[in-house]
Amino acid sequence: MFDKLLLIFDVSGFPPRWSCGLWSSLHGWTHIIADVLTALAYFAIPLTLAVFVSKRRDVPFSWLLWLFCAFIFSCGSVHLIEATIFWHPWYRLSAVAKVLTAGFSLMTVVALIKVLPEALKLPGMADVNRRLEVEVEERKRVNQTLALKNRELEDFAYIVSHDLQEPLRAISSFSGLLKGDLGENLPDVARDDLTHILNSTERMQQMVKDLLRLSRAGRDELKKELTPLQECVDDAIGQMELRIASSEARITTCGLPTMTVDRRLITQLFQNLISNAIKFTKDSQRPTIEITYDGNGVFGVKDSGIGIDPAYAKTIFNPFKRLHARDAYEGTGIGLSICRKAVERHGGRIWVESQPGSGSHFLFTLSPGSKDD
Amino acid sequence: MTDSTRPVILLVEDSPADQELTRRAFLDTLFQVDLRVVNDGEEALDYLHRRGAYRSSESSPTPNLVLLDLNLPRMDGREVLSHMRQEDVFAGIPVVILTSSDDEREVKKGYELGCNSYVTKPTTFEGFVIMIRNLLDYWLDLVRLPTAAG
Repeated sequence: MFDKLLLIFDVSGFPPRWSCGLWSSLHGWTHIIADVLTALAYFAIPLTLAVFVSKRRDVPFSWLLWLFCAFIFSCGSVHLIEATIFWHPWYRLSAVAKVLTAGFSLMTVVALIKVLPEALKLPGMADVNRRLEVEVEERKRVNQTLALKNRELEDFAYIVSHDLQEPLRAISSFSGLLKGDLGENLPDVARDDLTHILNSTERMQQMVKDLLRLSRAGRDELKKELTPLQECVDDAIGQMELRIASSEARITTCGLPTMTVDRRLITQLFQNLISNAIKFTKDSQRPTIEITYDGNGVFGVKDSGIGIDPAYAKTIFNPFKRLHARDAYEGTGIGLSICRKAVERHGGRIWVESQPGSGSHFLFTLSPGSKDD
Repeated sequence: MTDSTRPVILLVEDSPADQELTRRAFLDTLFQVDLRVVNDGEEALDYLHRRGAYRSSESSPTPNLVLLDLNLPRMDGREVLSHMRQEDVFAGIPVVILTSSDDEREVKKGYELGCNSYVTKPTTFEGFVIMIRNLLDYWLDLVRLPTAAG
């Protein structure tokens, strides 16, 4: 079998082409050079095509391009053999190369005819661009609708929480008045019932107030100005002076930059994080809070508190998410939602690194556009 | 019938619960006042201009103080305030906005329109009593106002 295959390289029975006929140098070399150049081009074309097809997986009918590669490559082989036949008369090999070329050519033609109707349906560049433009417009419209819906949702939260205050005030006040009106005639069990109503109403009033705060953090117009962030921290500390003094909290800050931010919102952000740090430190411990900036866009508020189970690292930023019983730690669980809102409105993100018992490290970024130095 | 010796307070408030709370708070302060209540902005202007049901001076004595809610049906408190500040005859009547909203923009808008005080409604009855007592102490006893017209 192998011997038979080798027969195709056999040159016996044929003279080299130079010796066959009356070749002038010019005539012979014209054939040789043209064949070699054509062969080189026919090798380069499929090579380039192959690189293109292998790198671009989205090309339609890629198998057809591979067929083109084989067809053009075999054409190149025929031309190269033709050039060498002037010295080396391997006409048998040439015949094999020509048969292969004929085979690939026919296969390519058949494939082309088969693919043509489908290929004609492919959109042209202009059509693709048009479709893209339509798609971009559609996305813009969807984004605008989403922004509008978000706005409506925030307005809704604001209006609902605002309007809820009045009936809550009425329930709370009239329950208190009822208690007073009945005085001594009020049975103990009814007094307890009223106390439950009053306590629940008070809690709901606090939740409504907090919901309003969250809603405002999301909808109030930002007044961005160049602000040394140390001033925001100082303002936050100033507003919590008594609480910080009574807890004997030690707060350190380091290298905070000056940025273009909404001073009120960023102050509220620091205030909520400091407040949380104090709240979630055991009474027997003195809270230590480090406020840092790494010079690379990341701010940190690290405390010595009770820490957070990493399983809750994301959900703690959801409104009214609490990890502890109300009688253990006060508050409705809105503070971190406001922090997230404040950070997101400055184009940044907030996250926490913590382990139970090892303190919490709240980290956040603000948009680089907000940074001044 | 009106008692001309008692200062007249006009409460512009649409919520029956808040009307009642304010009434009860006034009783608790022991201040002797003539409290008049209207339910919306249009009724407030009818009262002030002595129109419709408030044609007679007996039914609509000029108030010494107006307690004005902002969110009212038909005509809201901002429009009432704006109207009052455009009329010279009402210029000397102090207007206290009494509302649930502590929105910074509302506060600013209230003072721009010419209110004399902006007060957020307390959340408890005890808070209501303290607020009413403070308002009456200040506006009826402490400050000196131009003599009321009408």
